[in-house]
Amino acid sequence: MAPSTLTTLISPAELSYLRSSLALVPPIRPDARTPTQFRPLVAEIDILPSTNGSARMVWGDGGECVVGIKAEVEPTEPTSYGKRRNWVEVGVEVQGQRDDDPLGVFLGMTVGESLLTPTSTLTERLVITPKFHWKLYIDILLITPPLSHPATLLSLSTNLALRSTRIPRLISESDEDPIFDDDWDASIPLYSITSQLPPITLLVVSVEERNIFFDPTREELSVGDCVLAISLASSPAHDAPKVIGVRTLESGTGGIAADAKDGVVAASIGGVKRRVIKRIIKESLSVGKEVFESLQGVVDAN
Amino acid sequence: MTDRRRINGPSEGTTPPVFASAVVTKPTPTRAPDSLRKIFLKTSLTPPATGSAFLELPSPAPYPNSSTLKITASVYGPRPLPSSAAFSPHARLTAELKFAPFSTPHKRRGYVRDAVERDLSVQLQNALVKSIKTGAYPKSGIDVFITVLDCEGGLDGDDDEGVEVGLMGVLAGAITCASAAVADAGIECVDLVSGGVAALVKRPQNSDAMDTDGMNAPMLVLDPSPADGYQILSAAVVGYMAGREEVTLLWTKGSVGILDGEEDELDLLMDGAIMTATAVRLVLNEAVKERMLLGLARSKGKLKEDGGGDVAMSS
Repeated sequence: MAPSTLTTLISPAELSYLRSSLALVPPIRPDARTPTQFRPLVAEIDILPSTNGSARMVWGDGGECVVGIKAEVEPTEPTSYGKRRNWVEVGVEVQGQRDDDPLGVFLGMTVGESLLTPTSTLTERLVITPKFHWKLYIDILLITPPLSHPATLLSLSTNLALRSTRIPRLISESDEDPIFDDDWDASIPLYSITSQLPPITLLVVSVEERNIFFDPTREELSVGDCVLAISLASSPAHDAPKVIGVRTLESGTGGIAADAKDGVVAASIGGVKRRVIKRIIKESLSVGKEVFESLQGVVDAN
Repeated sequence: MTDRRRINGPSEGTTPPVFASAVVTKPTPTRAPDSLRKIFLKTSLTPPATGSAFLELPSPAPYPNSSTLKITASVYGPRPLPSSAAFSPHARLTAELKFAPFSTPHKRRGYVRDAVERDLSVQLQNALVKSIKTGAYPKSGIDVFITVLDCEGGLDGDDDEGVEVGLMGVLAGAITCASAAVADAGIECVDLVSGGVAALVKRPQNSDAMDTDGMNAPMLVLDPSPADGYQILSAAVVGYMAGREEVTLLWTKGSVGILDGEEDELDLLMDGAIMTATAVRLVLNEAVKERMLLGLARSKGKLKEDGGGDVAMSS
């Protein structure tokens, strides 16, 4: 129970107040958002000149994330052909936190895992010739120590950065050593608009079976029953995104367990029923579709 | 003028010969898709720890000495937090999962914890903490240490051939084993947590199922092992408290179809994983009960000894 992101400094009374207002029908969030509404954010792509693709995203609370993607040519070892998970390297750096902090590990694993599911087409895009492939370095920098859990911020920025990534055009034959076009204008986007898009991860918290909140703040996370990070993949051909991964995050502080008598159910004890999980995942599909549409808007605007 | 005293190599360079590895035929599964492996689970095997447990799965049938899953868990605490730590109104649970350096079949693992181990530790901690009445132990810490002595291999991560279930099996085993150890330590819990894995796999070509409609639909496999050789499309592990019918942890990999209102792939996967976890719970119950009966028998014996005035612990 020690991750530094979830140690809130609010009292049991405040937690109890927050939880009961989130449990209302309709719920009241501290910042008056609707359950599926995200906090306002600023996003831009193609900001770093020395990368193949980059993006920056700033959350209203000051959380800022910069993602730079670099690609290097690497010979494909014939013996390990098929083991393509080494073709993508994800590095997460959270400012003000040690390298071995569980948060950074979790974020890196979530991003890496969602990029490398068997149905993701990323590694197929990285093949240059039978003997060579691109190795992708995805470096994620969280500049401000996050006030809320940065999983959503990070995954949306990574998605934008991947969509702005361009790789040089190959001009040699497929059986030669690769030679590329010098002209950057002739480079090819890694993800074209018509193809499957990179995945996103949404953070969802449920309170009292009925209410499900997207983009939760840290306080909301600390009173939730169940926090899930849901990775979604989308392609324009299919309307609804597909779920490609679900992970459970720590929820509840345990602090309100003591005063469970006066109506506040102990949020830290016990799990959730499976129908709640089902509902969370279902709801995230429709919200995920909207998120993909707004990301498309960011890409179109640039 | 060329240098005739030397034999120069070819000007354009050569590539060293690389021999393609022999075609490895994947083993054919010997278990029925819905049958589970037997579990050996015993508590109190590590004397200095407050509570401990050991879990082992049997080796696959044709190879008696091949690698299986072997996990030990030890629980220390509740013990006071160091005086430097901030005040905590409830117990702090820390779980630490470590692979032994000799646990993997091919590559030796280092002593320093890597990202995979940290990730599994955090997930294990999340699965366990919901079952423990942390409010009953203020200002104290409960430490759970898991060592994976042997794993079935296949920790290489997902590749193009399918999702990899080795880590999921390790996590499910670790949850069950740790929960038994927590119970053995006499820590107050609301329920025991057991772990279960299920996977949707590509149906084998000459399957027994004769219906042509179902040929393309994925098949549900309970308790899959990386040694089974299935091509796995998606997999899920749950931490399940069967007494309260509540899920404490869900981790899925691979794309899962979701339909409105009907029985879909997500339902199938979660049902399968919960079914496995419920079956594992029976083993967990037995292990905890065995320990309790042993404790009762011992305390009775001790009473008798005390009555006779012969106290073994006098020195």
